[in-house]
Amino acid sequence: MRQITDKELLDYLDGLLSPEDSTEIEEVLKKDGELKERYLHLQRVDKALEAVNTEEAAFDFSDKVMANLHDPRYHKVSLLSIFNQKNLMMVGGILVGIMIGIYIISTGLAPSVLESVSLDSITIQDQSLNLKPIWDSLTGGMFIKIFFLFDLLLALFLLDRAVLKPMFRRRTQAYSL
Amino acid sequence: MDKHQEDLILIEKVLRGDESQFRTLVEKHQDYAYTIAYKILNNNQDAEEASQDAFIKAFHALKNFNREAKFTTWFYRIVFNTAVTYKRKQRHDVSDIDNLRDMAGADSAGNLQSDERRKYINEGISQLLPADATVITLFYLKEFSLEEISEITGMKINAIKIKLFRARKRLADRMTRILSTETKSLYG
Repeated sequence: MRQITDKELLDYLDGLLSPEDSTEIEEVLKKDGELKERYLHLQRVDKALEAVNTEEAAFDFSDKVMANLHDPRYHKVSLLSIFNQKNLMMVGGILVGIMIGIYIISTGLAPSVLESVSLDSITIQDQSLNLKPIWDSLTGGMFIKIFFLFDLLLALFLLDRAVLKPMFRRRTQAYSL
Repeated sequence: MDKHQEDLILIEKVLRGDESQFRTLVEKHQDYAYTIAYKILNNNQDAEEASQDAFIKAFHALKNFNREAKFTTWFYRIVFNTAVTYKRKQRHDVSDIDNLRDMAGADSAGNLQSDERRKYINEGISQLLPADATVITLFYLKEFSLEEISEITGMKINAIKIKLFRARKRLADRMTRILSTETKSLYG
């Protein structure tokens, strides 16, 4: 006699089996007392689940919903919630980076920042472009420009990860399901 | 007119400014919303707050609702997500006084006799993971197809089938174990 699994019994219970498979299960159930007991147990649990499934909401449920319909908490995502401890540290880091940059420029520590790039490093021969290696023209000013560009990109990246992304995620979860 | 069309008409009225129609929508779906939240949270107060929050979120997001879709599928997804968020908060709560009080109250009130079936089944469901509890709840509400359950929970249909099978089997095995002496009276 073929071994019938719980899955097949549940499928039979749900009426998901083909007529042939259903007939086969019924035949086995007639002969196998233990399997029939298992089937009856699954059937009882199934009925018990159906019977207790719906809970009743409180009688004043809809009153409470209507009373809180315009609660400001649901209108917009609070800016304060964005600035938790972790995010504040990241935003603080960005601000410190910007302030250091401003300080370097304003105190003249980087006088060559505004220097133009020397075109002497670029020569054109026989219609082909020939560039000298970039490190030949890498001055202090160029280094600081690269540093500030990197700083700016990092600041934008951190702003996105620390502030914008969490804010839009919250908003999406709250309102656009 | 089917239930889906009734919902759409109510939504139209709400969006045109007649907020009072939202009450009808709430009253129509509050029991199922509360049931889903309760099966995940297993606490009356939390389930009520979560399901009410879900209704308010739905109200504010109503303009984004795609009319081609079924309101219940969209809305119960909000309920599911809100209840899961509450569940995370629940796990962080050190003391769960309300739960203890609920259980003590039920014992002392002597209501367990008539509510035994509900109690044991709900206990069994509450032992499941939130997603499993939701899947089995929605399945037994007999209102949703597997496709709709998949949409509500954000899981693939095959995963739903597996979860459903495991949850039913686990509940059956658990009840055999716990209620070995009470089975006859429990099932009548």
